[in-house]
Amino acid sequence: MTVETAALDISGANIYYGDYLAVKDVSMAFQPREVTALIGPSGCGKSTLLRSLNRMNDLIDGARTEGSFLFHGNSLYDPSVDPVQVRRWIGMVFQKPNPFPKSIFENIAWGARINGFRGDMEELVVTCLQNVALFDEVKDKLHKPAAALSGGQQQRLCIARTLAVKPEIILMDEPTSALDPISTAKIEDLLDELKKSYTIIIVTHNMQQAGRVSDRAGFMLTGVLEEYGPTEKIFFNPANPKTEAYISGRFG
Amino acid sequence: MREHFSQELESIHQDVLRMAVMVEENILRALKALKEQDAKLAKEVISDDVRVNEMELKITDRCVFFIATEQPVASDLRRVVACLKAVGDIERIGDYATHAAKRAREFADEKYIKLLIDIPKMMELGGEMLRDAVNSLVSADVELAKATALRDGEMDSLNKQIYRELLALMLEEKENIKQATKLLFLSRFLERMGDHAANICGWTIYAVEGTHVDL
Repeated sequence: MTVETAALDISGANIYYGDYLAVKDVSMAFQPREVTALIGPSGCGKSTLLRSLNRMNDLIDGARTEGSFLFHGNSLYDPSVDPVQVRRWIGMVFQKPNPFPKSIFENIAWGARINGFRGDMEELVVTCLQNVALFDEVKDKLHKPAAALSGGQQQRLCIARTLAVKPEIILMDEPTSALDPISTAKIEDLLDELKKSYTIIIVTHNMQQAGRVSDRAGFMLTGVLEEYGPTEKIFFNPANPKTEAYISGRFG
Repeated sequence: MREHFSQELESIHQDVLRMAVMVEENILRALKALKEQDAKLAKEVISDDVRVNEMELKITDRCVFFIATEQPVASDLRRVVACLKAVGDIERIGDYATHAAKRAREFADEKYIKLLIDIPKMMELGGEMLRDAVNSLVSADVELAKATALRDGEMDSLNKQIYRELLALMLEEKENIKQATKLLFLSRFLERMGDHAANICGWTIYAVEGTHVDL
């Protein structure tokens, strides 16, 4: 896989927490406008790896990252690169919906405003809400507090907020694990839509979800990327017996 | 881990095995009815086919319920799918045993135009191929599957041999045509047993290796 075609290309990634090596020598290329799922048991390093992709680990004391992380051929960890800028290119959605304690409108407008957006803010907010299929549900209460929305609506609002700063890649760390099945289905449908324009990398514990939504899947175990390939292959005929044991629920 | 899952999968395979044993017995009973011109036994075999059909539906329902509730993946999923497909083939082999029993019922009061030699061989071979094919599926034995599928060649040779023999008998004597035609159809149906057994062998390979092979 070449650097030119991948949305993000990492190689030889080692991530430490102090002396502890949490992610070991991982190399993988993330394809543009695809959903890539990272799967594996708790503590396998998948969330650590995900956070390293937009330098969120920089915020953790003692975290250290080695290896090459190339975004359009440029290193994300180059000293000249501003980590805040990295997080604009590569946005993130978390497990628990975390809207700002502001109105629905402001949740989207705020990030765009501090990032220097000078266009029609109302249009931006409406477009972002439409893109996450939330606009029809909230159009009459745009200036009401975001906290009044349901968990599923809050999560879609958080995705809309991420879209407002026009990222290329969206990282999602178990984005539906706190949601009911209907809200989960809405987010999954949304992923299908979003991948037409964005590259999505998702960490999930839900194997069926990984099977449904992703184009490629990487299985991690104790910090090692054991297998990475087309989701169909991973779920139907994995090459590595450890992958098979995990996805079929025999350990983990 | 997932003991219930493993037990259920194993239990589905045992049901497939039981269904195959049922069909193999029907083949051998139909053969006995043919050889001994036993109309009563033939009727029993015919009516017992209902049990085989019920078994197919029962196993199908179990597989579907297993998929719906346990969400198997990878080789587990392939094994369940292989069972789903194999029971269809076993059921068809059961139909051919019934067909043989129907002929046995008709032939009970007739004098055979020839000694039955190759037809019994085909039925015995069909029973053996079925048993080995299903054993290969249950024990995930690819070598046994391949070896069993190869025996379909023997079945084809026997079918051709019977065809030649019956053709000669028909040319020799017009009176032979009616029974010879029935025996020809029977031979053709028995030959299909080998094809379905080979299909089951194909499902074994699919379950184990995840590939479709032309056996």
